[in-house]
Amino acid sequence: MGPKRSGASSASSAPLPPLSIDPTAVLSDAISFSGTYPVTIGANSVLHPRCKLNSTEGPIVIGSNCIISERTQLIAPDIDGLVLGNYVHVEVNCHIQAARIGDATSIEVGTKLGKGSCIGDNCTLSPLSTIRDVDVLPAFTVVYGENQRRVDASATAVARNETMLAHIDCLKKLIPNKSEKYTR
Amino acid sequence: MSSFPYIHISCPCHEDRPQTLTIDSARPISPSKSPSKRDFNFSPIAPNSPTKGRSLLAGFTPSVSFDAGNLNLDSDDEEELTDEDDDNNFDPRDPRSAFSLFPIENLLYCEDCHQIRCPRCVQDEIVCWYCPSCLFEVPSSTVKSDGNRCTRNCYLCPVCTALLAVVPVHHSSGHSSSDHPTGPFNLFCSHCHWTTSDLTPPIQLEKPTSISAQLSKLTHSPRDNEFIRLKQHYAQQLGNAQEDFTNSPAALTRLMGLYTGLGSGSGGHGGSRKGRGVKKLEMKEVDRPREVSEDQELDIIERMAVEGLEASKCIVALATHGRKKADGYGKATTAKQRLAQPHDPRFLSDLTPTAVLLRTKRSKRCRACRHILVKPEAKVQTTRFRIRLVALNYIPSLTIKRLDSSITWDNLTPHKTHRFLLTVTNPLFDPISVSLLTPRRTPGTAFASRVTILCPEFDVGANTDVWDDALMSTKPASAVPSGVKTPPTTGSFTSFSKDPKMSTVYEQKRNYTSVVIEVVPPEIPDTRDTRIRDERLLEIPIYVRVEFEAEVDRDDEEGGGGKPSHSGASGGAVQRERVEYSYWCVVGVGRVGDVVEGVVASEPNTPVRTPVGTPVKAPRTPAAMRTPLRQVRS
Repeated sequence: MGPKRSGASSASSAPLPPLSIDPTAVLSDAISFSGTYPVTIGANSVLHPRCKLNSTEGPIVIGSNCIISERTQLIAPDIDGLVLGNYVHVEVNCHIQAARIGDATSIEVGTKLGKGSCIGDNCTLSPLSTIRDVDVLPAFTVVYGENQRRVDASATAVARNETMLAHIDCLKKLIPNKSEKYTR
Repeated sequence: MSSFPYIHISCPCHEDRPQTLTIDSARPISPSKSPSKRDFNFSPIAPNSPTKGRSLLAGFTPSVSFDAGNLNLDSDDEEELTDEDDDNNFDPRDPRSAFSLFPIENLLYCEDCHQIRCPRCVQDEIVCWYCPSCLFEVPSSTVKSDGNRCTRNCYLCPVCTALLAVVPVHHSSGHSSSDHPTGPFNLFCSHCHWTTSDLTPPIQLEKPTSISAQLSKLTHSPRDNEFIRLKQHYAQQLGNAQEDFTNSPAALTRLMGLYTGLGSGSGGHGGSRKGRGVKKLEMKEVDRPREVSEDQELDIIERMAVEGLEASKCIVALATHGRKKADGYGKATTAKQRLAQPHDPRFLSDLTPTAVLLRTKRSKRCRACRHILVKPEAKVQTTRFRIRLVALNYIPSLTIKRLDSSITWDNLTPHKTHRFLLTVTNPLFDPISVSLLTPRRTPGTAFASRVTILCPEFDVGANTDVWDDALMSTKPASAVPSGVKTPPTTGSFTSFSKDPKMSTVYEQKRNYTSVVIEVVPPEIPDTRDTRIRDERLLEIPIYVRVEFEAEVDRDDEEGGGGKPSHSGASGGAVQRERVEYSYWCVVGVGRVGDVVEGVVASEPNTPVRTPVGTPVKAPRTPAAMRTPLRQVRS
C-alpha cells in the first residue's frame, strides 16, 4: 500500500476524471480518482474514504445502491470499462479489475478479481477469494472456502437487498458527504 | 520448520530415564542449602566433581567440564578433544529428539521440580466442557450421556463448516421484521448461502428455538435406529457387568489386579481372577450384518449415474469454454464432508447440519510431582488463568538475529563465515550468569558446520523495571552484571566471572545480553529429493547453563525434616541460595545453499574475527567452549 495519506491531496491537485455523480450518492473525503476516462456513480451509492478508482484504461460505472469500502481499488481493465450493477457491496481491501459485476453481488474482504473477469448477478465472493483473469461467474454463484464454488439456492437475494438499503441508510448518517468536493 | 531462524528447546523428558529419578531430581543444585556429600565436591579446585553430581540429579544433564585453569592457556590440543564427545552431545537430527523439541512458547515450567515441562510430560485434566459458539458450559455428566456436541441451537454448515443462522423461509418485508418472524424457518449459512431447504426433502423448522429437538425428529434416518439399537444392546451388556465396573475402590483394585494378572504370565490370567472371585465378563457382540436394502442401493447408483452424465456434460461444456479444470461431480460430497457426517452421505443433498463440537478447558499437571502448572478460570467466558507457569517466565529465552543483513536464512553460503547475534533474555528478577556451550562441529551429520560462540560465558541483568535502567543511567553499564557477586565456595564459574568473559559481549542491556556466534557451513550436496532428512538444514545444538542466586523461603524447605541448623542464622526468613539449571536448545539457523564462486574453504582452525567487538584481552574463545561436552569419568 502506497502513501495513502496523499490520496486526498493528490485527488484535489491532480485533474479529476470527468465525473457524473448522482446527487443522492455519498462520497466521503479522500477518495482517490485517477485516469482520464469518465466515472459514473449511481443513485444512493456510498463510497468510503480511501477507496481508489482508476479509470486510466477505461470508464468506470457504479450502479445505484452500491457500497464501495475503503482501501478497495476499482480498476477499469480496458476501453470497455468496469461496470458495477445495482446493490453491489464491495468490501474492504479488494482489488477489482473485473469487466462487469452483476446486480446484488457481494464481494467480501480482500477479494481479488482478475483482469476482465465477469461476475454474474447475485453472486457472493467470500473473503480472500480470487477470480482469475477473464473468468466468468454465472449468476447465483457462491465462491467460498478455498475458491470452491456452489450455486446459491437460498432465495435470500431480496432480503439481502433490503439489508443493503438499511446499511446504506446507516452509512449516510455516519459518513459526511463530500461529493460536492469532487463535482466542483 | 520452514521459516528460519527458529529456536527449539529440548524438554528434559527426551532422555529415557526412570520416573523415580525424576522425582528425586526435583530440587535444584544449591550448595548452600543442603551440605551433603555431593556439595562438598563443589569446590573451585575440582570443578569436575559437581558436574558428576549434577548429571545424576538432573537426570540427563550431560557433564560439562569447565577447566578453569585451562581458560587462559593456549590450548593447541583442542582438535583432539572434539570428536570423542559426540555421544554426549545433543543431536538435533536424532529421531528421538524430534519429540522433545518445542518452541519456548509451548513449554511449561514446574516450580517444584525446577524442570521444563513439555506437552508430553504434563497431564491434562478437563476443567469444563463448553460450546465455542454459544459459550454455554456443558456438565460432564451431560457430555457422557448426550455426547460431545452442543445440544442447544449451534449448528455448522455441512458444506463449509461455518455457523448456521436461523432465518425465516419466506422473507417478510422490512416493516414486519421487527415483529416476531413467522412461518417455517431455515438454517442458513451466511458464508456459503447453504440452507436446509437445499436438501432433497427440505428441512424446515417450525420454531426458531430448540433446534436440536426439531432436527432430531426431522433427520431421523435408519442409521439412527441402528445406532440406538446398538447402544441399547451394549448398555444392556454393560448393565450386566455393572457391578464389575462401578466407580468404587474395590472395583479399581480388581481392575488393577486384572492388569497385574495379565502381566504375571500365561497361567496367571485366569487363575488369579478366579481366585479373587471375579465373575468372568461375557460381552456379547452384535453380530448382525449391516442391512443393505437393494432398492436404496439401486437408487444411489442411478443418481450417481445421472450425476456422472451431468458432470461429463459439464466437462464438455467447460472444455469448449476453454477452462482447464472442471469442478468434477458437483453434487457429490467430498471426502471431508463425508467423514464429518455420521451417516456417510454421498450427495450434497443428503448432508445434514452438524452440531458444534464442544471444547474443553484443561488444567495441566506435572507428571512427576503432580503439581498444577496451568489452571484456567473455570468460568467459560473468562480467558484468564489462575495458575500459568509458562517456561518463558522462568528460563532465559534465546533469539538469533543476523549481524550482517546480507545473509539469507535459507541460502547460507558454504565456507563463508556467517555471524549471527545470539541474544539471551532474562525473565527472572535476579541477575543470571549464563554459559552457552556448543559442539564445535554440529553433530549428527557427515557435513558438520563449524560453530563458534565468541563469548560463551556472560552475565545477564535482572528483569527489573523498565525505568530502572533510565534511573541508573549515571552508573556505568558494567554495574548490572557485577551484581552477581558469588561467594568463592559456590562453584567453578565464579572464579573467572570478571573481566575476560565480559570482554567480547556484543551488547548488554537491561535484561538481555547479545553475543556473536559464527557459523561456517561446509559444502553440502542437496539431498532433499533422495533422502528423507535434509542434510542442508543447519541446526546448532546449544547447551544453556544458567546460574543465579535466588531468594528462597527457608521454611518451605524445612518441611522434609532436614537441617534446622543451617537456616538458624537468618531466623527462618528469606535467604539467598545458588540455583543452577541447564537445558539443550536447538537453533535452526537456516539452510545451506549452493557453493558460491570465490568463497573457498579456509583453514579449519583459522579464527575469523568479527570487526565488531573484537576481543582484545581474550582473543580466543574460552577453552570451555572448545572442549565442548566431555563425559567426566572420575
